[in-house]
Amino acid sequence: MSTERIEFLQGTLDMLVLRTLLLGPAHGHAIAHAIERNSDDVLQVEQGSLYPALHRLIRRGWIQAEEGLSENNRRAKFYRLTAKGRKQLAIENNRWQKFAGAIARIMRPAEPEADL
Amino acid sequence: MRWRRPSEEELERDIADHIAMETEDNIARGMSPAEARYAALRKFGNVTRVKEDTRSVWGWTALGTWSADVKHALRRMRRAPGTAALAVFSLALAFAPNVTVFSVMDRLFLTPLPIKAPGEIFEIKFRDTRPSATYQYLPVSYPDFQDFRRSLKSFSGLTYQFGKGAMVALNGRRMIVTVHVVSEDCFSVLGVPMQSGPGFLKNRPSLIVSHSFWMRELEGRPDIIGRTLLVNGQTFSVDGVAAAEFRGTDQFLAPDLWIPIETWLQFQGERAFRERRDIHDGTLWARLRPGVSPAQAAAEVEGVSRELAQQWPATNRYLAGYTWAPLAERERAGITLTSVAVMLLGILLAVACANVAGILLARAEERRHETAIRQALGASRARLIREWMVESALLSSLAAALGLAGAKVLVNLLPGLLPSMMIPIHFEFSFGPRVWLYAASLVCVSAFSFGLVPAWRGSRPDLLSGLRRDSAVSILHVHIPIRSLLIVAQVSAAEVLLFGAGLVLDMVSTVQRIDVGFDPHRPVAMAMLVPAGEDGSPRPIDCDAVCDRLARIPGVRRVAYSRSVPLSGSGGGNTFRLDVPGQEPREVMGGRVGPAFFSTLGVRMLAGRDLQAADQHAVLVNATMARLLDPAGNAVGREVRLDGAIRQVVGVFQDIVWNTVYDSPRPRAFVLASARSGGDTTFAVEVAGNPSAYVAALRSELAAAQPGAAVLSSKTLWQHYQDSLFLERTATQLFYALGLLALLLTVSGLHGITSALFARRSKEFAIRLALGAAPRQIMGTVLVSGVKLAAGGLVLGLAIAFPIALYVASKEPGFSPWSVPALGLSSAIVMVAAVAAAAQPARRVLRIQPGDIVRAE
Repeated sequence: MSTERIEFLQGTLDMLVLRTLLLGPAHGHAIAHAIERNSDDVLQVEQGSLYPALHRLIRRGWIQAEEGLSENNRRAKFYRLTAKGRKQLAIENNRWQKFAGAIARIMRPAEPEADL
Repeated sequence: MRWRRPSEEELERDIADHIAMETEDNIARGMSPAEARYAALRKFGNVTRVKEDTRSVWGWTALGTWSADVKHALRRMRRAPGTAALAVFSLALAFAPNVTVFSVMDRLFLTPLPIKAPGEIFEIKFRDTRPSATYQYLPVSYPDFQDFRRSLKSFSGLTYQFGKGAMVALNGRRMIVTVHVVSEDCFSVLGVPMQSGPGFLKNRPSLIVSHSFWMRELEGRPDIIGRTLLVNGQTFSVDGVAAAEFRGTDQFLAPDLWIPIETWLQFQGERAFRERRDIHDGTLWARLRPGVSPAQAAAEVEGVSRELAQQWPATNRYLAGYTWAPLAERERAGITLTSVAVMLLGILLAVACANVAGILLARAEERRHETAIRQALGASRARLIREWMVESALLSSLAAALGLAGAKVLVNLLPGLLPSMMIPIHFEFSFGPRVWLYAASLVCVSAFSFGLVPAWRGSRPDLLSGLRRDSAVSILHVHIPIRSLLIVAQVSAAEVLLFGAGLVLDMVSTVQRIDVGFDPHRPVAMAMLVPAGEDGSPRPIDCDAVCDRLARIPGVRRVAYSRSVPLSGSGGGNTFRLDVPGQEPREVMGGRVGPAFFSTLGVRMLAGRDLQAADQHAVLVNATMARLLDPAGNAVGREVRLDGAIRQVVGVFQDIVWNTVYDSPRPRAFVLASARSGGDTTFAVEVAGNPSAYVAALRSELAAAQPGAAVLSSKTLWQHYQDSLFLERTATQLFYALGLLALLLTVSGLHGITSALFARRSKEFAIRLALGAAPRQIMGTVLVSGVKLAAGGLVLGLAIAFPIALYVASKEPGFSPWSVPALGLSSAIVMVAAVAAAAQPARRVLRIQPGDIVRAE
């Protein structure tokens, strides 16, 4: 695999889980794959680390768990975004845009020199 | 929506589902099933850690994991029952004396009197303003109390009381009880309710019983109110049972009965008490009126005392009123004493904790392999630390249970250790809420202090060397310095206690060299007879007839009797007013003794002779009083006026201590006790041989002399003398007991570490032996390593103990830290114990089979 793998920044996994669930309820395995796939496999989730994050989000009331059936008819636990979670995602998104923009502004001036 | 704690199974299933899905995906991509599952697991990460992390999201209070931890800790303890038992036993050895002493302190000093608003209670006394005053402070006399009660406006109530012994006849038994004789309004002034009955009634002889007496002697009968009780032969009706928690106002002696003063004086015929202002024998407590400041009240008391001085110059001229808050003072003193005791016992606890910490560090070494495996499987450090702490808490709790059981036994033994008193004391110790709290805090403090270091060390990530079974060396290198430090600390604590014990012993032996004025070694047995009829009423006895009886006991050489006995702990005896022409009248202490009583006790006569049976108008004086009467030294033959009667001095005896061995010499006069009296009389027999062999015979002869009489405190003169040093001896014994317990714990710790050192170097020793070293030389090496630690602890202990001893010496005259015996004895005990502890592991050198060990390499 030629793509570089990037470690998760603290707290970003929570945001990515919320973003993934915006498209509809999903089970843990599906969430992990969605994150990997949608980032063109740049973001590699150590799949186990998803579970503490999911339980943390449930505790905060941003998502809720319910029983359901997976695509190949296995019973599995599905996670669904709550209204509170939707609001939180907006906040996180906003915060992330600011953060990413700030980092980008700092990094940009260095580019021309790098060209020299 | 409320958050619900997910179950362990749910999480397990989720993870299993996840891995199963990933495996299916992998198979779909063309992997073999085994390969697919392996790849899924790898991609998922460490399952144990994921579970652990997720559970930590649920919160720390997850009950399931706690109970799992407890179960796990129990399993680990069962796996090494010897070590666990040693740890529990070590701690229990420290817990038991801690709880015992604290419960005594709690009962005596920390339990507040169950009276209303104790801050409002003040005691009124007199201050003797003369520089030559025998006592600086004097209790108020009964007539003075009545005047104070009439005049003082600053107090809402005043109450007066004094303690007496009395004989109660009940169901054919007679018993000596403690009576608090009180003014009728005592209970209302103090604000103490009755648990049943109306309290003192005015129209009949009325008394109140204590809860303890009611339960102990009256079987707690609910119909007791209104029934009669024979006290000193007089019929009283029981008109109240005092509130259960009220044990009287005296800190040490709980009364059985309360009787109104007027009733008591009438029955006892003590009319003089009602009128005489020179009998200072009672306690006046007063309750401050709301809105009055203590300073205002004190000023008013002084004003009234000045009026009394004008009105009654003969008795009150030099007496100024003095007001103070006895309960606040009592509380302060109690807290100080308790803190000192808790600190001393804390040293013992610290030694025990150090011991257990050493044991657990050794366990951490043994468990290193297990720990490494668990870490490899993903157990977090926090989790491992928690397991260690749970185990520590468990050890500590088990020890506390054992220690409390031990304390219960010790507490029940305590009353038996008290010296035989004239009045039997009923000490009831129970573990109140403060004692439980104290025990609980001991558990917490000790669990943390011995548990934290082993937990930290035992949970350290140390995968590589931990997984290799043979590499016992690396962690031992780390642990032994800590354990050595612990041992040095333990030895130093034991040395501090033993050295302290030596110093206290030294002080007591100095006290025992004080010349008490009589010879406590004389072969004398003595006992007190309380004459009484069969109904408990006072009935005079003929002392001469009793003496004849006692003289017939084979082996008895001389018999004497007395109403006053030195060091009897009953206070001052009689007071006489001495009038010397040309001098101010003054009070001298003294008493009434039978013929040849002083000679029987071995009191040395300096001039003249002892009292004889016919000496009705004679007086014996001590050396100090003789100097007062005639500085030229010719007091014998002089006439003095005592209590208005002329008496002739027939003899001068050397100064004799009276209340305690620390008494400073003051003038004392003794007159002949009448041979017929209803008062308490002590009989002393001088015997040939061992006096303790005569105590029983003396007792039974006295009991047979008058049916109904009670015989108390029968003992030898030596025991009598020793009883007066009860507190000093108890302090010494307590120190030694603590020191030896600390030493016992230290020895077991030292043995442990010497064994560990030996184990660590056994390969080296084997090689040296194989190369031809003498076993004796190697034994020396092991022994020296143990002794070095002990010596270090010894030096540290002395470095700690000396400054403390110097400080105590600055506060306590008669206490000196420069005691060669204390230093020598404590050091010798510690070093001998250290050598003994190290000797056993050292001897194992002889059992080393060099071949086996070297081959195992």
